[in-house]
Amino acid sequence: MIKLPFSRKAPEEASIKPSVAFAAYCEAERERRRDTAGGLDEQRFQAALDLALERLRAREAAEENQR
Amino acid sequence: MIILRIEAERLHRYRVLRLADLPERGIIGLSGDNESGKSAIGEIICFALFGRTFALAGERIGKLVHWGAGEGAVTLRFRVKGKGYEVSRHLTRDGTQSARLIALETPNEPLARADAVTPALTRLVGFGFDDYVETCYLAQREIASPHPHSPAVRAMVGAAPLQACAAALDTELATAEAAQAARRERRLALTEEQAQLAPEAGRAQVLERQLAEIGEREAQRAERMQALQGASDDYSTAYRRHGSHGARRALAGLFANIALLAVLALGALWAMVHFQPATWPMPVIIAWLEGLIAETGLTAHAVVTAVVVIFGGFLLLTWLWLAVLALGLRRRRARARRLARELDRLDSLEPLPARLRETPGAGGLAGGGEPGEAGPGAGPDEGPHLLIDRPDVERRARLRQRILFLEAAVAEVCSALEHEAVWLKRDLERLHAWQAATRNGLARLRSDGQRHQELTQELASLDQEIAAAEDWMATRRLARDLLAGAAREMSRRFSAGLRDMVSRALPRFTEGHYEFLEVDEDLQVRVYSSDKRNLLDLDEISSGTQRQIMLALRLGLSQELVARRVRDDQFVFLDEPFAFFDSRRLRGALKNLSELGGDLTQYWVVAQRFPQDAPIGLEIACGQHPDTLTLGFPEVA
Repeated sequence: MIKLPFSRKAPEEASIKPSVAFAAYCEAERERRRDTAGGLDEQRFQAALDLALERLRAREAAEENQR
Repeated sequence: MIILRIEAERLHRYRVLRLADLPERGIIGLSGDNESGKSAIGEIICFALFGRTFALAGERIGKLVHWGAGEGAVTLRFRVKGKGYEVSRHLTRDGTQSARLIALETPNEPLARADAVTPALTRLVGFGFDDYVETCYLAQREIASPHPHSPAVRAMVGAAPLQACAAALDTELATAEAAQAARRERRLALTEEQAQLAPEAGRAQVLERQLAEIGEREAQRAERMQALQGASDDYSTAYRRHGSHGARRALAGLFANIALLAVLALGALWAMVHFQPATWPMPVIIAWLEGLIAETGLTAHAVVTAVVVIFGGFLLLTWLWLAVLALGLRRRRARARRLARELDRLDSLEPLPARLRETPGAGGLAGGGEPGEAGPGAGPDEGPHLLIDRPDVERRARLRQRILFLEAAVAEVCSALEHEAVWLKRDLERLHAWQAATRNGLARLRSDGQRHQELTQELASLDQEIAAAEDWMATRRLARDLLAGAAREMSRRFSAGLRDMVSRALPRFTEGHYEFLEVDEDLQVRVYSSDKRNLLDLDEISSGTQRQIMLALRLGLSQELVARRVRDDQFVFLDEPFAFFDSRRLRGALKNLSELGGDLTQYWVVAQRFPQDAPIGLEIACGQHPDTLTLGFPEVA
């Protein structure tokens, strides 16, 4: 079968919410920072993550409402 | 979204445009010479969808109305996710529009009207005008690299919400940092003020002790001055009274002696008259007396007795006078002694210490100046003034002796005491000045202490605020950095995905000359040349190839948009994308278009002419009739 240059994406692949992508990135980043010499301020990291997630989810909810 | 039918009247160059039975897959070729109305179809589709074209928006959209006509209209039928819809717009030359969106299933129940049509259609098809012109609609213009910060691209990357949140945090941080800078500035000012006010330990106690000492010295001098004044007044009175004391004492003594002699003589006479009246010369004296008092009827004995009594009384009076004079003298000497004693007390008065003989500094004692720390006006000249003020010791001793003997004249005493008074007054003035300065210093010290305490509390509170704000900002900075990092990561992934996808299409468009390309986070493109075996920037390759590469990138972006936002079959309108292609390359490009796969299924491609054997599903020849184009409809008469 010939592979075409463009292909359709699976619905779940195409519709990853920014907050989900962000949370995944932050978990990887958390692990990476734990391994750095300076270590990780877990409390602050979690607070920053919660804050950003809260903003993102609020934004997503607002966009959902608009739709 | 797949276009099924277009029906327009009096728009652009078309009086009538009717296209029906359009193929849903493959290439729809629009061919014709220049000015034949090929691009007009793309603009009419764009107007039908979004109420504007790439070049005309707002009131200028009225120019889209066919020349000579006052109004125009378009109806576009399309399919989204298996359902048919129809959008109709009516346009007048002044730019006024009316619009309606309906589902073909329920034509009598419009989904949206007027201004609500564009937002409703955007929600329905999954993209708006900006996304459309960035991806699915290539107007007849230079194909440029997509802008990485355009809303469409950011939306495709999925990083737009993250970047918006990061931007909001940046704004909050900017405000917070300005407030923090103001807090730090305030803290610096307060710290400087506090450093200036830093109280010296025990300074207040020192000043209080000094104030008590000054008060004591002042009281001593005031008391001495008052006592000296009183003693001086008493001495003056005594001295004035003492002035005639010698004469009075001498007169009283004389009278007393005379009276005493008279009493003694008359007593002897009385005794002789009484006891030896016959003894010579008593008879003669008695006869003389009787002759003198013959007419009075008194006896000589009685007269002598009376005279003795009278002189005896006179003698007593003179003695009394002498006693009174002695008492007065004693009292005056007592006053003189008092004055001498006051002078002695002055001598015993402890002189002002050098530190109090100086004038207090202009700044008083608030600045921590001690008495003895010379202020303006204080200096070595002060000492000699003190010596001049006060009579010297020897002179004072002589005066004291003369006062004790009541010999010092009032003027002399007053003059001497005037010097003493000047000395005392000067001391008192200095003490007053030091007292005032010390009180001021103490008051200022207490005020400074109070202020210092307030500053300490304010600084503590400010430090807490700064620490809290720093903590607040650190959390937001980290949140912003995480958002930015995640956005970069998403951009990187998007670029990588785009690169992979476009790389697969690239050899088809470039006939294998370029095999893959690099797309960085900013969507800057470099391509790998198989011939040169190297990565090249776009400006290093020919413009024709650039257009091929950018077309591939554009189609890749369209595919991403559709995959992420539409998730349905999608049309693409490409206005002369192969303008500089030779017929062989054009044929190959068209073949590749139809074989790209993915969600892009209906390609509208504009070209002046297509090769005979090009893989085109439907070719629409434009310009055969000046202002009419009909396909799939009965011919308009």
